[in-house]
Amino acid sequence: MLDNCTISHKGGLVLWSRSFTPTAATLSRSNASPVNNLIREALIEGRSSEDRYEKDGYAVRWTLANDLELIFVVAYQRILQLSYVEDLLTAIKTLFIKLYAPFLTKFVASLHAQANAAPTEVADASPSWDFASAFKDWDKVFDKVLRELEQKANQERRLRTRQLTGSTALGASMSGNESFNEEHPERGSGATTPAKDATSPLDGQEIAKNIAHLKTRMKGRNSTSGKKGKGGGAGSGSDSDVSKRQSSLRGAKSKRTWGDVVPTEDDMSALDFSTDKPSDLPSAGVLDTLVDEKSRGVKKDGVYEIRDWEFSKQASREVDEDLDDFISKTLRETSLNSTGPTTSSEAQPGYISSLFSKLTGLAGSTRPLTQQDLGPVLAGMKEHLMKKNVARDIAERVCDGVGKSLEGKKVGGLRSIRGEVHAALEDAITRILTPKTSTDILHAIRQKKLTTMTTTRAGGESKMEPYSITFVGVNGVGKSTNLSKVAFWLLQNDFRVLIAACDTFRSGAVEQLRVHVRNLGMLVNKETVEDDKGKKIDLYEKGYGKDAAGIAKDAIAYAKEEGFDVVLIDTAGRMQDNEPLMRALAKLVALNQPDKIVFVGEALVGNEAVDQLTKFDRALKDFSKGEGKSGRGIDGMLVTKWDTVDDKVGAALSMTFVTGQPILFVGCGQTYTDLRQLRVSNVVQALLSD
Amino acid sequence: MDELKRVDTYSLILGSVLLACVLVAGETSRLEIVDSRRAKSGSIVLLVGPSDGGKTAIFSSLVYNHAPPTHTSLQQNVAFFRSPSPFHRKPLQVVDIPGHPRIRGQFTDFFQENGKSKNIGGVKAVIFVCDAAALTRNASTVAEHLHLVMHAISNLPPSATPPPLLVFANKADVLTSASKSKTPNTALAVTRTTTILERELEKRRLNSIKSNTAVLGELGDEGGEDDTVGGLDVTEGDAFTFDKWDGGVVTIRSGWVDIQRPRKAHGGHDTASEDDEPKEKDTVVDPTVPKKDGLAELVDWIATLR
Ligand SMILES: Nc1nc2c(ncn2[C@@H]2O[C@H](COP(=O)(O)OP(=O)(O)OP(=O)(O)O)[C@@H](O)[C@H]2O)c(=O)[nH]1
Ligand SMILES: [Mg+2]
Repeated sequence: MLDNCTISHKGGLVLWSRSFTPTAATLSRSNASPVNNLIREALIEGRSSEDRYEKDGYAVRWTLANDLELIFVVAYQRILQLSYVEDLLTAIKTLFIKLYAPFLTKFVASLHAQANAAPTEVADASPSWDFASAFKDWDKVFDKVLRELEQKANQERRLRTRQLTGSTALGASMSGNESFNEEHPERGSGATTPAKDATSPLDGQEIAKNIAHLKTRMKGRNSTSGKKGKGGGAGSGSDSDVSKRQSSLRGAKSKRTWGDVVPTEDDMSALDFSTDKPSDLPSAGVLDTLVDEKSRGVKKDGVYEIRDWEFSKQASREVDEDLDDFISKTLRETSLNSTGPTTSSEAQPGYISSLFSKLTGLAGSTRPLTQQDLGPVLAGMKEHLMKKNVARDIAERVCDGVGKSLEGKKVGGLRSIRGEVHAALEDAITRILTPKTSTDILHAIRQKKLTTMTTTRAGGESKMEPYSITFVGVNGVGKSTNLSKVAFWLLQNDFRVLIAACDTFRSGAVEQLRVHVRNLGMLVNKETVEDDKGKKIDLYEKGYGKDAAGIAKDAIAYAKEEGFDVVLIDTAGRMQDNEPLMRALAKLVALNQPDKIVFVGEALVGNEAVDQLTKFDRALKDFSKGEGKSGRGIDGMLVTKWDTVDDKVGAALSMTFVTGQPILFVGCGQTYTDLRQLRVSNVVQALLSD
Repeated sequence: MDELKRVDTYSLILGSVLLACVLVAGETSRLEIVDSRRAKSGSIVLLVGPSDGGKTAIFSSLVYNHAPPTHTSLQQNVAFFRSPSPFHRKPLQVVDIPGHPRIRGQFTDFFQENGKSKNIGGVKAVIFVCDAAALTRNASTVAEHLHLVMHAISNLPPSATPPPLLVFANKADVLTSASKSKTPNTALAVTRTTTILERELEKRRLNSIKSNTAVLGELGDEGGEDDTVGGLDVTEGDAFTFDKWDGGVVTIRSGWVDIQRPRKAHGGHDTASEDDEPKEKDTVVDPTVPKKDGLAELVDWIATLR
């Protein structure tokens, strides 16, 4: 059973939403609603190429209609294997847009007011902008679509059961069926509509058709899951010979279609578009009241010509049937054509674009971008990013995401497809690289000083908690060197720094830090007179072979006692696959709860970046979880050897994409001053430059 | 009508195009031909602020006169709305900028003289919307965002007049006050918001004074461009208060938006019961909350703009 279905505009306004349980309704209103999480954690972060998003036990699927800037979202319990969600999305997207295109077009245009091109009049606050009444008939359409899809899912399930027990020839051709069944044990069971197949007559032809259809689905499903959650819709894997077979089937089968088989009399009557109440029809009622004069004016203009939406033209005809036909047709196309979510928007009537360009005052002919248009350009962009040392997987996902955000979008004559893709890619990369949390560490250190000081004031003696930063990473990337650079920077900002030598593994590690601390101490003393508080920089060490987590804990306690502001914790380098060592690191993190966990990685890293960061982040989160405490992952990155890669700065993109966290520093040389902060626009430029 | 005399042929053509557009759109309302050059300068009202503050809800109330449910914005909304002030003869353009940290930076396009935007000087006012009820929890991130906005305002070239800034403490309806009355307590929201934000901004001001950013430059700017987010200077070295801010005029107001919600959840999509259930989505009418315009203070402020 579904939790929630929402149709909304990318600007944030929800046009229509339905929750199926009270819990889901409450959740959908909160800031932590599935839609909000999807947008914040997938769409804005450039992860829109994934076709499914999961969080807190629910799964979310979505599709975009980029020409009208709409988002269609369905959320459901993750444990349910709802086979029809993809079809549902495609169907409601197609139907919604076709039914309400004039209203939607006008609405979207009203959200793109241009100072120089817009009408001087304000979007009038007539009741036509009341979405609730604008889309009130949509509930019925939605119900019908959902019911049909659920029934179909039920029927398919039953059919399979029957074949497994009886039919010989048919059953033999369905050898893959059992595994399919096991893979989706819950399939269709969430449907609340009583299945009607026991009474509906199924002749041989229909069974054959059902099977053909099922095969398509399975094929699609298998290839989709084979691609590990990437790529298009449920049926995207079905190839041309299947669809050929289907179209020949459809042709041979005279008028009988899925739409004819599935709906029952109940369904017909459920759709309360009775002929004697013409004002209830979406055609006569909804659109006229909503778009008011518009439909008239546009008709005069000859633009308002909805050819493929037949019943709108003939309000006098048997509308029940027309709407049914229309819905059935859509459903049929949805399931048989192995529709990627985009096909329908490609099939958008041209009048939307013409109307849209008129309303927005955008000159030039517009046409929707298709997958074919975008494919080659995106492939080129992907190659380009990989040349810049972006990990293959990341380049792919970023470009796929860009593609998804552009498909169906109308482009004016002035801008080339390449230009459009370039702009969208720049936008996406900027978003990925832009931090979502504050990167001002100096401010954070002072904040912590202030807050911990006030809390202890009551006790008289005011000892503030030091701010702690743990540096983690694989071997030989320059952790200790760059930790020293950070120490130097902090010293320049008048903080007292304690370095904790928690690499008790590699021989020479402690000595190396000792040298750094001596150097730094001399540098600081040269510039500033040592104050009464004591040493400005010191090393906390306990030799080799000891438990790193314990040393870190002692170091923090020591720092608190001695009034150090910051503790920098150096840890031993380790390979991401070494589970015992990763567990040890997670223990250090769990025990000390450092304020920042900084991953140190090389700018030279290419495809390896993904594996390193994913595993470090995962392992830290998984192994540092305690009772009641959620695990800690990586908070930010320090990218070393930046000076060696020229403009091949792809690692920056790979790393931020994988973790969702910002690059706090880059190391760019051998001296203590060779530490920089990253300016996003510079990285974007470097990545896009030829 | 004297405006009509001034329009040249080009404007007439433009005017008829606009007329056509309006006809297409079915707008029956009164037409008004405004000098398009003048419409460009200083008619933009920016809605900025952290995510979930209520910018889109306010936007919708101003433009569409009602506020449907919303979710986090992925992109800007731009629309015209009729200002309540008789001094504003042309409609104002309200721009709702998404608050998500990764895209909130879009607002700087309105303050920069780069190729991207022709809007410099076009900003009539900036409204910073935040959730008054949540401020105790996210004060530091809200202040960070406000700081960026104030930085942008105070860094405008001297030729541009800094737009006035309204800090709007939204969601006063959920701010539980000591009196336990169900009336939204806008006065409390204002004082609380002022105190919290001034305190946080003072911390940020001190931080930016102390921070030795010269040591840690940014990669690629050999020109030594100053990237410190400052802009929080106050007169005479005092602690920061909005009154003493050097960068411009700040006003704090509070209010709320009545969100139009579906009346209740559909209890499953059970066919039988659902068909006789009314589908209209009614607004929740809480009788204890007096029907009052929650955006009155905001709209009044806009009306005072010159
Ligand atoms: N109770 C109450 N809820 C409000 C008020 N204003 C907005 N909301 C709700 O708060 C949530 C966030 O509002 P939005 O307008 O989407 O927030 P936003 O500032 O546009 O957020 P972003 O688009 O993410 O930047 C929505 O669920 C609104 O319905 C208010 O005054 N009172
Ligand atoms: Mg918004």
